[in-house]
Amino acid sequence: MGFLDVAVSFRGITRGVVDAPQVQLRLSPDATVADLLHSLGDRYGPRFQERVFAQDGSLQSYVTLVVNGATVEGSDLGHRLAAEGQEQVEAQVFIFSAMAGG
Amino acid sequence: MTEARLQPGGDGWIPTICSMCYNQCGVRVHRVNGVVVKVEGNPDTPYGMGRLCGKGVAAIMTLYDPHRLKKPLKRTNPQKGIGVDPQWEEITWDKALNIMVNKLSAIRKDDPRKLIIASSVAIPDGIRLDWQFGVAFGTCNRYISGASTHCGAGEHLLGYLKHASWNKFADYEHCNYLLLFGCNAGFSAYYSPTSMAQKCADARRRGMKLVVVDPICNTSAEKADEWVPIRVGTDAALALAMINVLLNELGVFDAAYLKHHTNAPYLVGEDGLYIRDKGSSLPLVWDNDSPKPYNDPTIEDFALEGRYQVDGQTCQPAFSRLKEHVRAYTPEEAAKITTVPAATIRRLAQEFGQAAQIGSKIFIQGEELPLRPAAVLYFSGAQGHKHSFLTSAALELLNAVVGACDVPGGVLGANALCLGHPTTGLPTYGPKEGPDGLMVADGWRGMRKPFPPGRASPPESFDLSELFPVGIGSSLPTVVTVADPQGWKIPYEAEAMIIVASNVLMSLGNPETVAEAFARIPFIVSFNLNLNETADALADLVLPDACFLEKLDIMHNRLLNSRLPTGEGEWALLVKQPVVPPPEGVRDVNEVVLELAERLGISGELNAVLNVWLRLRPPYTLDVNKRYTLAEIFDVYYRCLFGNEHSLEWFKEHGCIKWPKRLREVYWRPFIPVRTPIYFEHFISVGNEVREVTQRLGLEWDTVDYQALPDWRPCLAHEIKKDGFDFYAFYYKVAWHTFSWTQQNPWLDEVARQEAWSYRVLLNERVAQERGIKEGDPIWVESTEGFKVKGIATLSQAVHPEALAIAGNGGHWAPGLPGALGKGALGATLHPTNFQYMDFVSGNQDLCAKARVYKDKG
Repeated sequence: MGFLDVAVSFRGITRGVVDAPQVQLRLSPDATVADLLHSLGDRYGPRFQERVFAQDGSLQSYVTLVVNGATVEGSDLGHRLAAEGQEQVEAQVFIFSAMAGG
Repeated sequence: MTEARLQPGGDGWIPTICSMCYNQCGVRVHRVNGVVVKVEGNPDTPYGMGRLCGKGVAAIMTLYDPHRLKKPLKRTNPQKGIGVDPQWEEITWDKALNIMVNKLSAIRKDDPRKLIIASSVAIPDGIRLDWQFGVAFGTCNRYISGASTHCGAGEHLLGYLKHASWNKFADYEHCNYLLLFGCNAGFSAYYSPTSMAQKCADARRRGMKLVVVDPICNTSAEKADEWVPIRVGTDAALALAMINVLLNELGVFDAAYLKHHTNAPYLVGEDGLYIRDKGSSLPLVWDNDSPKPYNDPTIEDFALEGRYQVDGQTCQPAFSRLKEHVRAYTPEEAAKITTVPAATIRRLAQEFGQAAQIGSKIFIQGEELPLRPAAVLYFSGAQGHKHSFLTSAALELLNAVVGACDVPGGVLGANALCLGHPTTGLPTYGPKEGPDGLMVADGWRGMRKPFPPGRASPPESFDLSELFPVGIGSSLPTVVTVADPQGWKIPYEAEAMIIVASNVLMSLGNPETVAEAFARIPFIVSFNLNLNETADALADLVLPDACFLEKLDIMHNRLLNSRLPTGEGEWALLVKQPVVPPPEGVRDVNEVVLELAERLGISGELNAVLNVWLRLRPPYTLDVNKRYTLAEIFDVYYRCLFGNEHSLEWFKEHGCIKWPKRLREVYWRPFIPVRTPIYFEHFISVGNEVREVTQRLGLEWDTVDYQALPDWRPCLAHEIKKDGFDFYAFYYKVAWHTFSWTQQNPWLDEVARQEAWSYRVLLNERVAQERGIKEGDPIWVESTEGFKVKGIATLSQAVHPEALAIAGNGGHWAPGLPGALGKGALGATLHPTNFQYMDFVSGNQDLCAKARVYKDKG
């Protein structure tokens, strides 16, 4: 059983949510987007969880996850981070702010 | 497009995009000897279909306005405020950018949220790099100035929930009966006016009946079959009474639509919440003799009415709730509120229900589809009030009960579903199934999505977006919170503000209030064409922006939805390209922002944000380790969407790419298995959460409007009783001005001076004469709050006797706008600009004030 090394970059409105722009995580090879976000939630606590997850556990509409350059559909929390045999992944967590206005 | 290409020598007709308002019509511009001599509609694009309004035609006068800014200016007088001489000093761009970089570097290191970025609803740049710059910089404080004032925070919210789109139109190809509430959609304003006016005119020629409900006989009402004058701010009462007549007197509703495409059959308990399946937590419905999850494949028939027992709880379908709820809105009661006679209310309901032809079908392109040729549209006039969400919901339910939603003849969300260009399948977006089977929209404009709802949390942003979990936000709160961040529990103070193409003193509310609040911000930069009121009163730096005819840009409508004509036709995407270079000393704000990002060391962040924002996909993505020009970014964008051969150069030559809409894109409802709410159940829990957060923090915040079914509630103006103050003053728009920025244009000013509305205050002739006021008299309008605005009276029989209508955003005083000086009045002057005049669900401003009027004695 190997590991999956995930290099996570945080972009956007991260002040007070995370303490550094990048972090390295080690997850299981079959880890999903949900596993990654919950792992980050455990690390950064309620502030991160509130910012990233909506009430029903889905992603907040202004959070976007990009894995290896491809945007993950917001509802697809079960999306696997890596293909079979892949050992390293780059993930970017974007926390946008909603523009006010309409 | 052959005739649109440049001729040898560089002159000729050049295709580009008009940006004299937010609608982005396709134009072609004639350049002779390097000088623009004409702007006209481009018939090769569906954005305008070759038509162009007066504002677009007059763009040439904005381009060559001799009063445009030509050099960066620096304030040397540290004092700020209206009427204070800034003592401007001309400086170089390099010096100006050095000042900005020094200030912004320090702020970013300290706390990037201390930067506020204010854009404009009026002058949309496609890429709006200031938005992306704000995200890359790390500030959550970005808002669109003028939104929630001019626009429709309530209407757009319902556009999302009910039609998966920002805005919506009647299906003019098949609609037979159109009811407009406080709205000129298809006539003069709203979205895609030049295209939709043609479609609407064709529908009228075909025989579509038009009824307009409005306090004044507006642009659409004067062309209507019937104008129904209504008391200002009471549209919801009329709508609810019509629903009552339909459901409880006539028994007219589209049961099949309600059962299969809405949450009407979901069982609701006595607490107002869904009754849920214990195992799956899905909402239950009643089928024959038992409750089942709404998506149970064995369901034979969804009950819409009745009372049932589930696990010891009494419950009823949401539709039953609605039916009972509207019983209180009898036509007789609604008549007292609206002044619309009860018989008229009954007749309108009967006409609307009959016109909907419930149960009828139509064959289009070989497909059999439901036909519901009746529609209700509404916008600023109806929903620009204290209870904007409730009003919008009430009006929207009229469409829902007859099933006239996203099917032929009914209301269509503006281009809500796009399956993409035939060769690439891009862009692609559309409604999808979300929690509880309810619709989640995808083609949304970067605002907070109303569903699934966000979480209420302690304020962190000046716009208090954390307290609007279902709202799309508002520019109003920033005025209040910047003045008192501690009081609103915001953990920092504003240190800097960048204002792009906006005149916030004229578009956020009462200018005195706005100026007083923003004067507290130590460093303000304004990018604009002219030295306007905001720059003059507040800016530390004023930077001359390029006119849109000097800019390279993509479409503001990058997802093709809200500015493209709705209904059958073509998809299209255009390019904005410079027709002439900017004058010496003038720079495109987007180019300046790219340079700023580089000098601040955040170009990589900006590229990363643009990859997401523009939905770029490999191999067409921006490298975070590279620096790009605007042209390079746009080139990647176009190739990503339409393939490698469709470069920026291709777009500059051809101006437009287009392809036919598919039937299921236009009338998507029968093809996509999603439900939309007729019962806004989730608002109850959201309201509870907002109440918990605000009470815990000791913030005064009204959550009463978070309810599952709409009511009519009075505005503050309806509740104030003061002798002599018997008018409802409100603001309305004219088609030949864009909010507060076009009064400086001499051609548009000339139009406005020759008619009786733009620069005047409109009131009922009889009522005016009773007060001794004659046509052309100088008058004062004074609100109960003690605010006053001076205007010139114009009298008409076609105005509700209690209405007092102030057009547009006039009353300019900035010396940098000599063409606009002193013309017209600013209606927002009558309000104190505070939360008493705001809808706490959507953030929409309430723009009616109880007022009196009297002749100017001077």
